Amino acid sequence: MEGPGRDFSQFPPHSADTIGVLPPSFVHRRPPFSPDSPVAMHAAECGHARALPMPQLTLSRKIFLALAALLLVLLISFAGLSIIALQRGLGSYVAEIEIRRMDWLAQLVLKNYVAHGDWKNLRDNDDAWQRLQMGRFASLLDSTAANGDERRLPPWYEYRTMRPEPPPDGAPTGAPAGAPNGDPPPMPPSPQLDLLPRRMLGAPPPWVFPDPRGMHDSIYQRLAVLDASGARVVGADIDMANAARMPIRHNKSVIGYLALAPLQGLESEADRAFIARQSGVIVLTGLCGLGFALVLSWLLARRWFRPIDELTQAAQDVAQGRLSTRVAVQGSDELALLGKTFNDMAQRLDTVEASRRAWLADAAHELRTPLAAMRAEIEALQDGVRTFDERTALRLHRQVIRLGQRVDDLRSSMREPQSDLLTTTVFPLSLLKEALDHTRDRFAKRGIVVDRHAVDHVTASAQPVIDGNAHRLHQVFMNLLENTLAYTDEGGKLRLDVIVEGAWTGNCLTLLFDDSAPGVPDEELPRLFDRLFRGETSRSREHGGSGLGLSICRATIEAHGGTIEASASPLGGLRVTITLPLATSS
Amino acid sequence: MTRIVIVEDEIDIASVVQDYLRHAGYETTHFTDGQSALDSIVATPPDLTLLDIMLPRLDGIEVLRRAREHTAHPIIMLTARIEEVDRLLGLELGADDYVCKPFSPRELVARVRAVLRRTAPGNAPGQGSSQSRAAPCSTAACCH
Repeated sequence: MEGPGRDFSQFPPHSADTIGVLPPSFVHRRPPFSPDSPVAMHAAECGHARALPMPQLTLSRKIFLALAALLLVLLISFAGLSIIALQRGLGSYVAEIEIRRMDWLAQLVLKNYVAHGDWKNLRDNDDAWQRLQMGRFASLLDSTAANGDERRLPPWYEYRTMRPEPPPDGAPTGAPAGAPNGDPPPMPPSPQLDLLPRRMLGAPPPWVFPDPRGMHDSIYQRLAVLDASGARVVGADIDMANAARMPIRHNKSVIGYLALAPLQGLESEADRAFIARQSGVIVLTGLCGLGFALVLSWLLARRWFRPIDELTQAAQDVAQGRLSTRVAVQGSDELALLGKTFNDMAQRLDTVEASRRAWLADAAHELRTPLAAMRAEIEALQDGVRTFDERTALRLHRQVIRLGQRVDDLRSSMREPQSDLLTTTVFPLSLLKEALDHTRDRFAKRGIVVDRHAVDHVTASAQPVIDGNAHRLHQVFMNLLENTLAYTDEGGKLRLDVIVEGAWTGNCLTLLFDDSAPGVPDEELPRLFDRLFRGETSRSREHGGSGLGLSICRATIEAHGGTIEASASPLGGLRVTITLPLATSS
Repeated sequence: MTRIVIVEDEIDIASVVQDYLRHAGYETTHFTDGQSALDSIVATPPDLTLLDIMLPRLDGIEVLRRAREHTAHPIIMLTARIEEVDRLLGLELGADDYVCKPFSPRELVARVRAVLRRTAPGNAPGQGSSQSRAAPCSTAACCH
């Protein structure tokens, strides 16, 4: 970490630090995302004592690890909470089950309520409560005669009756009267089943009905009666919030509840086994889910970040010069946008590179032609086919001059047209007149009549003014005149027209250059201002010209904010129309 | 006397080639544009034609195509670019050989001699032509 305000200049640019942090791909050609760590290898190969044995933490791995950590936290909390909820909930659930079995007691409580009309009798009356708990047998104790209707016996009764007791009087008395389920299959009479109910008609001995509430974890220590508002009437002082309640209804309205508090803690072996089993299932399910989710997240991370791998590979390809490289763009997310931008960039680079190559090939060809002529000439001298004389020297000199001109043309066409455009106030017609004066002798020599009447006329009245570069504009006019000189048959004509449009019609200066035959075929007109284009198939090449002149004209005129167009001239040759915006001050 | 037609718009090059061929004992005629060369070739086919591709009025490939409709005499193409060679080979128009610019006039004369020897009256006309069309790989070396 660099501290704020650290002076970087005090570190030499090629210190060990700087080299060490170079991306490995700049130094070694390695396949991207290879499993071995290029950083570590690079450090090792460069002899740096860098402890970097960690595997490379790619973005997809980071995302995967983050997802994995998240899933793990989720799983642990889910499983833990599930198990805790199971332990807690099991007590309540058991209490619910237990209280469903206490309906006989609810019936008794209801009966008691109906008999007295309210809870007053029962309120805090432990004795009465105790008697109710004894259920039917309490009433048996009180009443003189057993009621004929069969009721279900309390569980502890059934439990107790299983105790073998020697019958005191051993006299069998026919069919059993108090079978637990009302309608038992006929059984051979057993002394216990026979005798017990009979005994109950009398006073039961204390060992038959020990106080059930005295038993360990007895249900009665957790049992209470509540009134309709939920307030305790009688019974154990229990936590009402967790208690399972069974409503006691009379005439369809709830008059109170039988409430049972859950057991504190899980005591029994079966409970613990159940919890353990359920916990095992939860953990196993969670682990399976985790494994599945990890595989899925790994695949997802790979899938999400595959475009990045592809982009890296493609960028390396482009860096190595394979400009036709493109990446496949899928979807419409940020990575797709990045891929599209990358493709656009590669496309542009490709185009620029292709046009550069084409330009270089054209330039080489342009230079080759005078060189070929010179080579042929010199070899002819060497082989004795020709003898050296004044004319040979003249021809060779002409070729050398031509070569020099083309080099100059190439150099000026390579310059960015706008980079050196110093703008000042310029009088374009004066520049045009200057160019015409400059070439007057050569036009006369070729017998071409120059009609410059319009130029002289406009210059005499009011000079149009533009903002621009005088030198470059002069070059444009010279190039156009040279073009006419080179591509107009002897005895032809060049006519110049000037149109000045004021502020109300467009505020521009239009110059027309019309020359006579030969003309340019219509299909070649749009290409006329392309670099190195030359009307090869239609115009004679005798007068040289590299094909750069008109492209320089277009670049310069466009840099001035104007336009240049080629069309067929009414004089039979070429018409070049230049439009330049006038300076706003004029 | 063997008559050779030169179709080349670079006058300096054409005149040197003409000098060389005259020196080697051939009679030469020079044209600077495709159309007039084609007219002459069709009217009186020469023994051999040296044909540039980049020509005013009618380009060399078109001259070759039209000339082949009338005459089977040997034609050597002069090309300035590799792309032109590709185009030439791709069209299979029946040029007997091609030479890349900037060529050595000595080499050009040697090639002219070779093509003429193959198509000399003693040989079957078709045979020499097909042989030479298969040969041009040696000339590719001159294209830089």
